[in-house]
Amino acid sequence: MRQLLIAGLFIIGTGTLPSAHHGTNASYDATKEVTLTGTVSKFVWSNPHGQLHFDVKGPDGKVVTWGGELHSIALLRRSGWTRDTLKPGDTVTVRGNPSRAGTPFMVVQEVTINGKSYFRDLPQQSAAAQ
Amino acid sequence: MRRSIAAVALLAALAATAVVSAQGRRGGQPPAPGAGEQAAIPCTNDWQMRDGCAPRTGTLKPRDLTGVWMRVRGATNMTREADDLLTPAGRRLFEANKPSFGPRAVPPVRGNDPLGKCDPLGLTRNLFTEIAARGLEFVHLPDRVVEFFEYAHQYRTVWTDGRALPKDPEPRWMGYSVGRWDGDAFVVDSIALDDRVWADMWGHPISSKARILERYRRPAFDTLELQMTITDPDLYTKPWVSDVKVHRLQVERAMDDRLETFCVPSEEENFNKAIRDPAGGVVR
Repeated sequence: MRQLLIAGLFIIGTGTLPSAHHGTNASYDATKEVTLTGTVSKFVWSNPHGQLHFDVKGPDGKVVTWGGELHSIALLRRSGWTRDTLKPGDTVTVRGNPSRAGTPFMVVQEVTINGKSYFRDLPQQSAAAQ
Repeated sequence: MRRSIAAVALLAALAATAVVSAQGRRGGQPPAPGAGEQAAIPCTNDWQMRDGCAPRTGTLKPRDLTGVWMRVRGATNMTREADDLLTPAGRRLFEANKPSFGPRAVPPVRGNDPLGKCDPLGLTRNLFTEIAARGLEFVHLPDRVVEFFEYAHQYRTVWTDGRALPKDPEPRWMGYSVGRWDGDAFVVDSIALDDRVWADMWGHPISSKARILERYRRPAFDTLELQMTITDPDLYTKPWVSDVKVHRLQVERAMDDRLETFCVPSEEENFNKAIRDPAGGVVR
């Protein structure tokens, strides 16, 4: 697990996160970013925030299930997502800010599937909601 | 692609600022009734950009705020200046509130924001924050103005039939409001907030004795301004006055269709167990 985190983490300089309406940004570290590739196990298209659960195989072969927090459905839809954007079994690359508590959770900023990227937020939207 | 969007947004924001400043230099006078087509104001909203960033133009009717509006400038909370105005009773409540936004933010699993239980946000939180991210729709009726908020599918009624505020009203989540026109400004006076609500996302308190004054102006066809004054003598030593918040009329297709963003307790519970709590280090 630790190896997985070290492999995936790198420091970024923004220090801020796009707003999560339910205040969950306080749970994530805006100074760190993790990018992981895995297989979707569950995609929950539901308020207050969508959920992306995906399995990541570490260097030791151990599989860790990550939980990704997405935006609310209305805001996801306006950013180009639909309920069919992801499905179990899809291979995805997920970029996000990890949990401060060190648990395998992140607030998702970008999901790439089949060469197409879906973003959590568009810039003005996140600025307005701070 | 993302950098391109950010660059376009920045340019649009700068251009919009210039336009708003220009309006300010005109002395803030409202356009004359029937002034006709207004100059196009560059979009500053990404949902507009997704639809080609076409600004909405048209005839500015006097005393008409109809449409869906989205915040493009202005604070989304009471700001730290309000801290200095807290009375001892206000400070006790402020310190008891554990928000997940702002300078005192804690992970929500360790906080007590009513939002986390799907409690109604109340009037001021909707006005401060929700219309920044999700918009506000004005509908004029003969005896009232109705404001629709997308979050939680809430609405409020502002009575415009000349009635006075009630003497001893029952507290309500959204308060009791009357409105009148003062020149080009629509002035809304509200009382009787349920004191279970927080004033803002930062955990500032507000009581059932508070009086909220909203002053709306529409200086251009696609521009709506709002300034708020909160008077709550039990909790604040003097009235707190907000900045002037600027909102842009939303284009059709992107925002006119109000989406259902109910806060559903069963969905909230599922999210809290699956994501919110373990992300905050608490596994139940």
